[in-house]
Amino acid sequence: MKVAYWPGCVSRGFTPELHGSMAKVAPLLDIELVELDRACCTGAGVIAEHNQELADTLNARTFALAQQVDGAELMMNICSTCQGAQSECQERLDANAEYRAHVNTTLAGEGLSYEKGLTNKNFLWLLVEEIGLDSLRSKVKRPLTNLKVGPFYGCYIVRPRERLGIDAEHPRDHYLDHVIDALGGIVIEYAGMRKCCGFPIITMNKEASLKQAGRHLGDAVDAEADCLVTPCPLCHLNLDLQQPLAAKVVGRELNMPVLHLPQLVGLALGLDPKELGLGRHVVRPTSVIDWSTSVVAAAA
Amino acid sequence: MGQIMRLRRIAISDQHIVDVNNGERHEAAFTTLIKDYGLLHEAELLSRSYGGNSWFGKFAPAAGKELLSSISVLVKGLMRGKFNPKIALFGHKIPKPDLQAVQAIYDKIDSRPERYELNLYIVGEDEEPAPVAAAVAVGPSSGAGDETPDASTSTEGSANQ
Repeated sequence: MKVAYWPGCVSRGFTPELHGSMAKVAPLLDIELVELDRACCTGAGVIAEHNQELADTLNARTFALAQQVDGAELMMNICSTCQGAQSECQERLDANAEYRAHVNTTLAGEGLSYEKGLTNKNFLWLLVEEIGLDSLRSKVKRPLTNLKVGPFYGCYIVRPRERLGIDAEHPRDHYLDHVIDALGGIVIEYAGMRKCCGFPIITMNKEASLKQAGRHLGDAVDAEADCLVTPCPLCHLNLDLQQPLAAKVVGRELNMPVLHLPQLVGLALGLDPKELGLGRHVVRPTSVIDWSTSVVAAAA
Repeated sequence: MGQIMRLRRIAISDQHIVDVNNGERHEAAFTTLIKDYGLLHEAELLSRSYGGNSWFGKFAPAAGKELLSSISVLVKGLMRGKFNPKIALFGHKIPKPDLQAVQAIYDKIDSRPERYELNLYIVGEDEEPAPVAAAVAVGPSSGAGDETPDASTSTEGSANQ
């Protein structure tokens, strides 16, 4: 399956192990990634605070570039925040022909035009809806047996439900659970799994932001999770990079490894922890991996 | 949420309300950095959100204080290879022709006399059953204008994927 691939900014900046692990996992899932390296940041909802038309036009440009990729079945991203921001812009662009034509006028100088109806899916959605859980299960070489994984969905991939296409037929707000199960792991439910990680307010109220992250991590510790997995690199920044500070704010030891979704999938598909960049995390996933043998979970 | 964003645009872009949080600086820094780089320069965003929207923002006392409080995390991240020092210091960019195209989009849209917005929540149900969206020109912008479509619009229904 060929996809127009939008990696986002953070996966190429402060979480390079995400972009790297996606590149390693894709061939094992028969996904051909055509990177949209000409596209710009989605704006993450912040550019829309400045000017909605600007945010919509920048994203329409990305969509138009994706539509130019020969043979691509859809556009795929690996960042929930990108998914949320792009879905919001696409909702407006697809809802109104005149508005879309207006935006396309701005893109015309580059010879680009966005045509209504692009399918844009986060890797998580693609895993379940395009590859399928049975197919994923059949590719597992190193089942995550006895590994207790807490899904951390964050905000942008589960809210608002209607815009994100979440319904009875597409329970996308449960897909992480399904994937963990398909990979052989044990799903750990805990209070914060669908709450905000706190990242969006980190420059506005750092203590509240870290308290949010610390509370969710603490919930996962109390639920006896071995690790968390998230489809969002921004959640990862607050839950992993900031975890030592979050632990101080909530006054307890956390030590909870947080994996990117492609890393968890890659482990189960038999990839080496090192090539998945697991050693780059601030909280090293020693509970997930026995570093001497690379055996998952059972050794933990 | 759409209405909250509209109010934020008025508060930030029109009124430039700077209060105890860094919301106004954060929006200004983020928007400027994407115009300058095409991609987010995370380290610069942090310092500008605290110290002001320019390269010199990092030398402001508020930015320095924040940097000091995060130094242990940053050092650990660097040591683990969490981020490339070159990208952390200088950011990463899209190719030059594409960056110029992005900047042209910024220039064109920011130069309109009024912002052009599509409000999916102005439904007009009382008078007209069909439309579910309306385009409205709101708020001042910064420069000379150009065309915007008529405020009454046609719609094509829901856009969920």
